[in-house]
Amino acid sequence: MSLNACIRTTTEDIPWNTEPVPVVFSIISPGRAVEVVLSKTQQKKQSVNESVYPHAKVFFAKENTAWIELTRVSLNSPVYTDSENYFEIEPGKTYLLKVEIDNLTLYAENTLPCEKATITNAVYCETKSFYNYSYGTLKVDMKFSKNKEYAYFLYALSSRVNEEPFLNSESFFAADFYIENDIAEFNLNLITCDPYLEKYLKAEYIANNFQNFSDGDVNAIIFSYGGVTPDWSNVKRGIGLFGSYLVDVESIRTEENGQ
Amino acid sequence: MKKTMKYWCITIVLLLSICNLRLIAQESKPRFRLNATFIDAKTSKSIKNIAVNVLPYNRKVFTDKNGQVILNMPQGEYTLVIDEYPFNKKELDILLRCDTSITVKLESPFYLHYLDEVEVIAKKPATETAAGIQYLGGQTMTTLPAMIGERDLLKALSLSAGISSSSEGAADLQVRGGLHGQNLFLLDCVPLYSTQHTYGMISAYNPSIVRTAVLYKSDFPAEYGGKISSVLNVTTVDADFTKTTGEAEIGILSTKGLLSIPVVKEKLAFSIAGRVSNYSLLNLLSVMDDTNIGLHFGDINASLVWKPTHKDKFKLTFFHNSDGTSIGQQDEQAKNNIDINIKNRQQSIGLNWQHVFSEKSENNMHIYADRYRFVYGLSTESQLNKSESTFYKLRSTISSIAFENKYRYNIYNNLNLNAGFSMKGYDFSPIAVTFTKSESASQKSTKQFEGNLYSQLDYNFSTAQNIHVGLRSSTIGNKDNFYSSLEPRLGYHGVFKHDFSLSASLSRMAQAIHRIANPGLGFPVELFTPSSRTLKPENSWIYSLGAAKDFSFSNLFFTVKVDLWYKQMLNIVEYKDGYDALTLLVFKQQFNNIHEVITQGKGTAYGLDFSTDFILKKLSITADYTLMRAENQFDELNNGKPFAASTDIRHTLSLTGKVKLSSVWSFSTTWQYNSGRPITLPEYVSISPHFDFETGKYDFESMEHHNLQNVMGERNNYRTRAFHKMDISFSKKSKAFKKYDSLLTIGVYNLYNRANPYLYYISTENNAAGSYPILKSLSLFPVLPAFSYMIKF
Repeated sequence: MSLNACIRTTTEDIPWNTEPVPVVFSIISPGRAVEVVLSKTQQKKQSVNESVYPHAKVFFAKENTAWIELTRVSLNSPVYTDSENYFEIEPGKTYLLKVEIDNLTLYAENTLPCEKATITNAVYCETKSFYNYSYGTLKVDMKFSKNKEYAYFLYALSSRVNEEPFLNSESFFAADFYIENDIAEFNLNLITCDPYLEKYLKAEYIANNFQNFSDGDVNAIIFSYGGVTPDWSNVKRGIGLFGSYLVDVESIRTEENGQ
Repeated sequence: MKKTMKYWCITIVLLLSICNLRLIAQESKPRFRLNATFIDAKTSKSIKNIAVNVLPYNRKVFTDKNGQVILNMPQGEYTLVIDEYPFNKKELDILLRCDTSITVKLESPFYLHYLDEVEVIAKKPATETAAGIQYLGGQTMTTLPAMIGERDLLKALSLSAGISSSSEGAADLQVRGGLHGQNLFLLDCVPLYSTQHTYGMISAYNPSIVRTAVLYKSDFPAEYGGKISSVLNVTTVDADFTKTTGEAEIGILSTKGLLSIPVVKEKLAFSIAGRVSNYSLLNLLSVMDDTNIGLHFGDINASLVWKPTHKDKFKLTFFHNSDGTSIGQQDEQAKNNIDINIKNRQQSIGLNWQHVFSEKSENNMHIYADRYRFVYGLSTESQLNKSESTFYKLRSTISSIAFENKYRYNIYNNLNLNAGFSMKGYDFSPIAVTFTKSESASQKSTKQFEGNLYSQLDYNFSTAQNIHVGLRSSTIGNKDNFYSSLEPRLGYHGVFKHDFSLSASLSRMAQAIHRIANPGLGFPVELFTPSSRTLKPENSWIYSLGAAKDFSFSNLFFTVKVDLWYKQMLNIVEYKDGYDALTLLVFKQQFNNIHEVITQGKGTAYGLDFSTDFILKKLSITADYTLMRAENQFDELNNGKPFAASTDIRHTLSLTGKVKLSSVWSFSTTWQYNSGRPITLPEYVSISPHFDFETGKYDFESMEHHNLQNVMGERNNYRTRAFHKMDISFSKKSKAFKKYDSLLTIGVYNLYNRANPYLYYISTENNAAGSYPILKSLSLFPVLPAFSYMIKF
């Protein structure tokens, strides 16, 4: 008797809103240029070449200062930048974001974390080489902020270092951290997230790991997320993320530490 | 060992000699015939196959099909003792001087009634039971349609008004807006933590050993507590003292066996019942080329009953229940073997001593120990390098030892006292997570002590008017924190002229051990955690008001029962947004406080239960309908706004039909309908560019292929499709090998092949613009054949 033969999948009526709604996405951090990305909620009939809100205007401001309009990169690229480098993002400060699309005005604000977590010690020891990669242990000691609202994760070589979305202790150890053989030095970044970015990253982690199964996949039974995804949107009169983070960087030389 | 055997042999020989001497002495007296007929005082129906103990011979005889026993005995004084559930114990002194015929009426409490074993169709007056109390006899289950041929107690109960299941096939109970974990499941007075086998397909109660099951949806006796929604008290059959009996049954899902052996006739008997999944017997189930699924369950119920005197009964019970699912997959792309293991196990051992002091009083002492363990494990093994294997394991264990004493005293003819106390010690290790690559972490294990004290007075102030008042005091905690609660219980049930009855009740219940269930779309996983300094016990107030009427016209018997109920719940628990049992595995390595992942709030539920029975000769039709509403409010969920509870199934309807086709064949059918249950789905779905935290730049190239992000709105903002299905079954009673009773059941589950959703998940489809989200449901139970064959010897 086959369980697989018993499993049937049915495509249900879509319960969510089918009319496109503007989505605003911006993550700011000290030392990084301000960028805002516009998009729409996903629809079946969306066109590839469609220009997203070509007449939209995006404004940015530090709290208690005047709005400054950001510049759209191009008609086909719905990215708005601070082309004049007017804004210098600072920890603990509040920033405002406003998007005007026809008669609709979207609004969001974000206060950066006051204090970043710091790396107090980080050691990488190569243990073996396999194909083009060297494998080793990575041990990191950190000091977190006293503010319990913030979440932390380690980031290096364009990806998250810790497997779980956020760190739960001030010491981290990976037994098989791997890098390409020809990298002699890399930056280890300790990210301090504000609560909105934390919610978004948690939702992203759930979407990437516990959703989207193929038909008849037994994993849909076992690995399907059984909770409620956090509501990460903090954009009023629309949806989107206006998040922020601080980063502490430690440069790690692989050759020296491996010796 | 040899010495013990020798001692027993000598004792038995001496006892037999004494009896023999007495019999020889009496032989000289003239002999007379005693013809005793036993009938049910409520229905005046004869009671067949009940045991009558004849003293001073201490010999047990059984009534025949007419409810009679005929005894030919010497002149003298005798006592007939009838102690058979559900009837009140009765002792009848007889002075036999001539041939005598007597009729003995046996009475049962208000809420219990005798069900005839053989007849499928039996009248069941609705006026007999108070609102919110459901009774099932072990034999009743044999006449109900079984899922894939598997008779099941919880599934049978879920057909009743006010009760639903969380999903299709789930052997769980959602009673009047409460969650499954808010029900107290008792098996011979030992609480069960996990009551399900194999994705909830069947319950942990082996139907072969169920003697009675009483479900209290309201009007809770003071002796029960610890959960806030309902109490299911299941008692098992005693071993047979007179002859070796047994039962064997094979079905599609499982194989069962029951054996009862009298070790010392009339004194000591042993019984053992076991059940094992047929998948376990086959050992391995191949599903797909690269996936292996193993589904195992098994349970053992054993008991040793000793009756040293006619006033004392000792019962030693053992229960073992295990359940396991394993899935093995080979990911050829990543060169990994992935194994998932989900296991739960409960074991308990208990000793019960029942002592009858006199006709008016009896005492029940019970001591037991139990252990529950749940494991959710995931391991990956690299096909290239075995040393790179990893595993995650989430484990939850509870051990406890308990002592309880229950005393019943008949103060006057119409006034009864039930009082008792219990003490229980727990050792909790609610959540322990183990990883290969890092240090193990766990929520701190705790020891807790629970003490309960209760008293209840039952007063019959007229022939059929009963009022009961009770109070239960419960305390639980340890040296760091203690919680106490007083739980008043008040109930009335009265039968008036013209077969009309009214009942009303008020109960307060408290629950210190929380069961945390996944609130969302996926696979149901349960974890238990005790109350602590930051996690308060749940409690509820439950009110009910009911009326019933029996109609009788010639061959037609018709009953109507209506119950109105209201339930208010405080400190109920739910996962915070972003957490479920699975994410506990990967999100949290250390648990300083369970409040990091769960939150507490309040709930209300109210509704109307309507049930009716229609009996015409050999045809019986039962309809149960519930109209209800359940709403929760948590400060930390849904922005503090109230939302529909996951148990808010507005309409539930079940229709059951039974007909006796001939002396051996019977047919039954059920049709069930549940309106949609609330689940949380996104209000919008968007894609977001990948963000590089090192450079602070967006990666637009991957945007079209990036995973979709759900944007959530209100909690439980969507309702699933309605659930409905029809099952049919035919049963044939016959004689196997010309002398053993046998029962063949064949049927069809989900006759019209309805694809009822078991769970929902979000998937994607692609078009030229990229991927777009779709909602899919997965159903597990298509039209299925049902088969079982049972033989009794």
